[in-house]
Amino acid sequence: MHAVPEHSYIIINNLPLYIIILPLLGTVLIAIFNKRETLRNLTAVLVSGGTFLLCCLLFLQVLEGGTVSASWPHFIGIGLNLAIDLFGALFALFASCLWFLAVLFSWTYMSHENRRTRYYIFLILTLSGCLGVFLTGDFFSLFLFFEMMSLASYVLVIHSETGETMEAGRNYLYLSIIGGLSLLIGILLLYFSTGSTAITPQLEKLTDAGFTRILIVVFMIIGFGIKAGMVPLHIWLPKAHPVAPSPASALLSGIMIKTGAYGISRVVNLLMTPAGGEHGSWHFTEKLGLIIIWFAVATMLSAALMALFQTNIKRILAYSSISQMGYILMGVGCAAYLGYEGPIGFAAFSYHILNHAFFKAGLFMMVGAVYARTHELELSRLGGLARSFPVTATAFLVAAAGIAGFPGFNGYISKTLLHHAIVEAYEHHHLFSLHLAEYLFTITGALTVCYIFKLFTGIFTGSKPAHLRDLPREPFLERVVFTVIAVVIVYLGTTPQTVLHRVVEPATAGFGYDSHAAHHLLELDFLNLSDMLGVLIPIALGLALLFVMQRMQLFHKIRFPYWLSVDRYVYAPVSKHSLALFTIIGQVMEKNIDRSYVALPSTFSPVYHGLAQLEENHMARWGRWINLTVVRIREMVYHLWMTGITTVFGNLSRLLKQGFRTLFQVDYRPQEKVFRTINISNLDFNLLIIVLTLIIILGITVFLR
Amino acid sequence: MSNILPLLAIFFPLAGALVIRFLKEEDAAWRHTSAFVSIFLTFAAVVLMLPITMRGEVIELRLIPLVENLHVYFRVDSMGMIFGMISSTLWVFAIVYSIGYMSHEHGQRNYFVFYVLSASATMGVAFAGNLFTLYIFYEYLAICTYPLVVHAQTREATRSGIKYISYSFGGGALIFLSMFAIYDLVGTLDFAPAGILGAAGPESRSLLIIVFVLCIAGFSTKAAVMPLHSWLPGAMVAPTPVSALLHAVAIVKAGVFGTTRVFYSLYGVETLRELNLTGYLAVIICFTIIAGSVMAIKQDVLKLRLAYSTIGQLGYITLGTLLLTPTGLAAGLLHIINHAFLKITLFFCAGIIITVTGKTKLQDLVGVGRRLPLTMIAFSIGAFGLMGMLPICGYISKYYLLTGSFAAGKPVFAYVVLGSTLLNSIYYLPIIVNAFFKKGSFEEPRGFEAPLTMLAPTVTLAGLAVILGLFANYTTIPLVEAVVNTVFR
Repeated sequence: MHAVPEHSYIIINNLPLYIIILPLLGTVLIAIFNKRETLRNLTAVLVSGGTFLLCCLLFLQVLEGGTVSASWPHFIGIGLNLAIDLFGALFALFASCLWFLAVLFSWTYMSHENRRTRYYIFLILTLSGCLGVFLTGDFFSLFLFFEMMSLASYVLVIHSETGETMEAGRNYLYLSIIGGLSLLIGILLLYFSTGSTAITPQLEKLTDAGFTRILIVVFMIIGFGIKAGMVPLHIWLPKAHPVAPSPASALLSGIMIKTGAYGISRVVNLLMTPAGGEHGSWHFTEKLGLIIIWFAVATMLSAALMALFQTNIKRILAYSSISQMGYILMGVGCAAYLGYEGPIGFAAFSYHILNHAFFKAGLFMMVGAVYARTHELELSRLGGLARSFPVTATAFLVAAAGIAGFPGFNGYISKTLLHHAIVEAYEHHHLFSLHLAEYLFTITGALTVCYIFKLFTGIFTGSKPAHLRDLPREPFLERVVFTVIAVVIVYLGTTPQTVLHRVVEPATAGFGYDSHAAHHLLELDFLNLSDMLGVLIPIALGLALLFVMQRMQLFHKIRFPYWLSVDRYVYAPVSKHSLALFTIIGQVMEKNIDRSYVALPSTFSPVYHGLAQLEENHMARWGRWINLTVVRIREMVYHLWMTGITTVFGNLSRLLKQGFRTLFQVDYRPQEKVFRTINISNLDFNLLIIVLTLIIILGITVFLR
Repeated sequence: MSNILPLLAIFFPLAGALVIRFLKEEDAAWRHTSAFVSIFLTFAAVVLMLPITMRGEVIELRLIPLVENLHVYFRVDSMGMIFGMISSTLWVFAIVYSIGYMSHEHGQRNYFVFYVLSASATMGVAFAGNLFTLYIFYEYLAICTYPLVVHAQTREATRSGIKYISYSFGGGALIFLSMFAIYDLVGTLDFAPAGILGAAGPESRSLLIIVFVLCIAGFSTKAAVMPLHSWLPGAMVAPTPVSALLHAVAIVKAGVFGTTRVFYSLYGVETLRELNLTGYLAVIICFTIIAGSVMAIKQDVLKLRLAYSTIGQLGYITLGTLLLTPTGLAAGLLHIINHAFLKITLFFCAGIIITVTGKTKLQDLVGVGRRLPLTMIAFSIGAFGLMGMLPICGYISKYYLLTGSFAAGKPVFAYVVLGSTLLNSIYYLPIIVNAFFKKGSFEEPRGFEAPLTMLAPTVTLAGLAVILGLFANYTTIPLVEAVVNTVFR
């Protein structure tokens, strides 16, 4: 299973391999430095920092043009292909950057947790798997790293090993495995329909595949969608993300769910597109895009609603992640729906992925910093902490402004791009449903503003509860990390043209888009009134909603309806009943077959028992009688037989003697009339007999003729 | 010289058993020595034959003529070599492990006599050149293992023993019946790479179908195909090395090996394709895979869970072989090897857990990773290997099976296999998670966590499983390719 994406240049070097191997070696070192705290933490920092540097190098190489690739076709019998275009390199860059920041943050955050060595080992192992996903050139290699990441991150999720954590971890693990298997089916189907699993446009080869083509898409989207938290496959996410240690949650929400989005985008925007530019088969991509848009709208709206009614601060952020994944998927859907003119959608979702990675990972870490000092996750028991954690509060405000889409912060750019994309999608065919989607997009924006400022005001403003006096100050390292994140958020929000020109537009080259449409991206200026309105309306709506809800204390009065839980009403019963069904069939079979196979003799045992009873109790008494009877009967039969024989033969011989005597008497009385007539010497009589005989014979012969 | 090697492989354990029988019960040192030496000599004999079969040559040995064209006949071809090689290798590990495990049990002499004796029977099954010889050694294997199953001499053990022996002989009887029919049809019972029943012609189609059903039912009894599986969980009352070797490697694999022989050496690919029967069997096998795995989830005794897992995993082997394609056959044979290595590791770990902690139930094993770190790592390797995780050897056979079923145009099988992979993870992962990620009442070990005679084979086998996964291209795949090349010439 190998192929290298078709591209103008292909640079072959082993740099991507080093990016994957360096963290693997790092895990070994961390395991060796088990007991030495500082050395171990330093190793983790150095390894993640080194990986970040290597990713920077790789990014620069790719930026110069071309694809970096390396492949080992004989790697453990299956083959490993690494191929990095700009899109992948971008992902690898921000993933490794955030990982580095998270490892730095872990230094202080993890100091009061147990099992630190294990945490670091799996944190760095997950880094290797996660980067592997972004650096592979075919889906099969991607799958390997995807699974490695899922399994390694499981240990991060269950770090605290409490009951709730194990429960969440179980959900996470099994859904990851289901996702992996589903992805594998999709990949195998793809391989056997096209002969290649390369991450390149392959729609033309699939035009004859018919239903298989749909199966491939469905299986692969389920596989990636579970990781991406796409509704209705999101059920693990709100459980797993809050229970992990905060740096791990930051990475789970900031980076790892992006592997799902990355995968979906690779499937929908690259694999399922025709290779040759403008082509008739784009309409398949278009339909696919429409479906994705609607799943995305469902995801972002429902998750934003859920986020609004949560009280656990990390759970708010987890639902927010699902909701933001909805935004990203909507961009993916728009890009596919617009087909050949898709760069606006592409730019929107890739920009939003980048933005979300920074502000969501940042928010999780800041919330984690608060938790590390206060040990409180309930919003109602927090408040007024801005004075205690000034840098954290400021950075939080910046990140919140980013996620809410205030102009000047990064979310503004990507949300404007998304808005453009959905409007353009509507104008493509003037489907009313897409017009509706645009409204829902705006409403979701309002909800986002509402929940994020609810979170900010809840934690940092208001009066400080009594049990939160005498808090330690935030450490220097945390201030650095948060400042970096805030700076990046502002940078991405103020220099959109640079990013679009230097990164996003070149990245579209790997996809089969119209280069004019891609170039058109650069003409967006983001500072006109209509774009501002597109963002300011939801902000105004959201703040109004927040004001109303807080004033009327609706957050406490409204509980989110449980009937919306797909987990409780669909997945749990289905899995329970299907397992029970097989068990019952198996057990029934086991019992009955055993009975018929082994215990078959026992069904005959009544017969044996009866015979034994007969012999013991009755035969002694009746035996003699039966014997005598039998003997008597036998003698009687013998007697009858003998008598019969004697009678028959005696009579027979007497009869014969009588006949002989009669004939004798007849023969020796010559004077009688009978003797004279019936005599051999009587010629007349003899002639008569001869004539009669002849007549009879002739008559018979004539008759028989 | 070389053509008496198969005979030697059968003879050495026989001689070893005889020696052990006439040693005194207290004479443990000599008993262990003779057991190990005889098994090791067997292993050596098999290894000496390996290069010969890898060159594509066949060692033949016709001994006792019975009737025309029917001898007690040994024939070492590449297919038999796989089974012989894997059994003799694992027997060496198992005998070392047995020495450690049995040191506190009663009736050791009896145990070792039959343990060594069953090696001889297994070698006979592996190197049998016709169905008659195979049948003889197949029944011989059942008889030798019966005393091992009832070793505990409890009421439960006796009941399981009766169940075991009645299932075995029931299956044997079916094979015996089919033997007459085959001899009557084609006048020989000798195995041939392309099958012998192709000569029977289309007029005997109905008889061929009947013989197929008889043969497969007979061998499936040992291969624990549902609904004929229930002796296997029952036989878990045996001492753990017995469960490990006989019920994960030798006996069940003899059943699967017999099925493969019937498919490829008796019927031949062409004949089977014409008969078009494998579809029905596939339905049964798919059900076995899923139901076996689901029932494994419900077991709360570790050994029973492993036993039900075996039922599912054996289904993979049969599923691979009945695809009747090169990839399918390769998948089946590879899984014979890989499953043997992984499952024996798992059983050895279970044995260590029983010996060291005395616990058999899964809910008592929370946090056991603290007390038995190496053992539980070996256990994880085995379990992950069976789930198909890289780079442990199980993934190769699973990969072949998946690609094989897609290439044969039967993606349904792939769905079944992947579905059961999910079930595998559902019944294995909680054990690992509980062992490592939950706190239990276990203390850290002082010194070695378990007797070295038990720990060393377990860890070595786990290491071998990883090596076989990493270097499959140079180890298992050439072995299997040799078979595939002779069958699909």
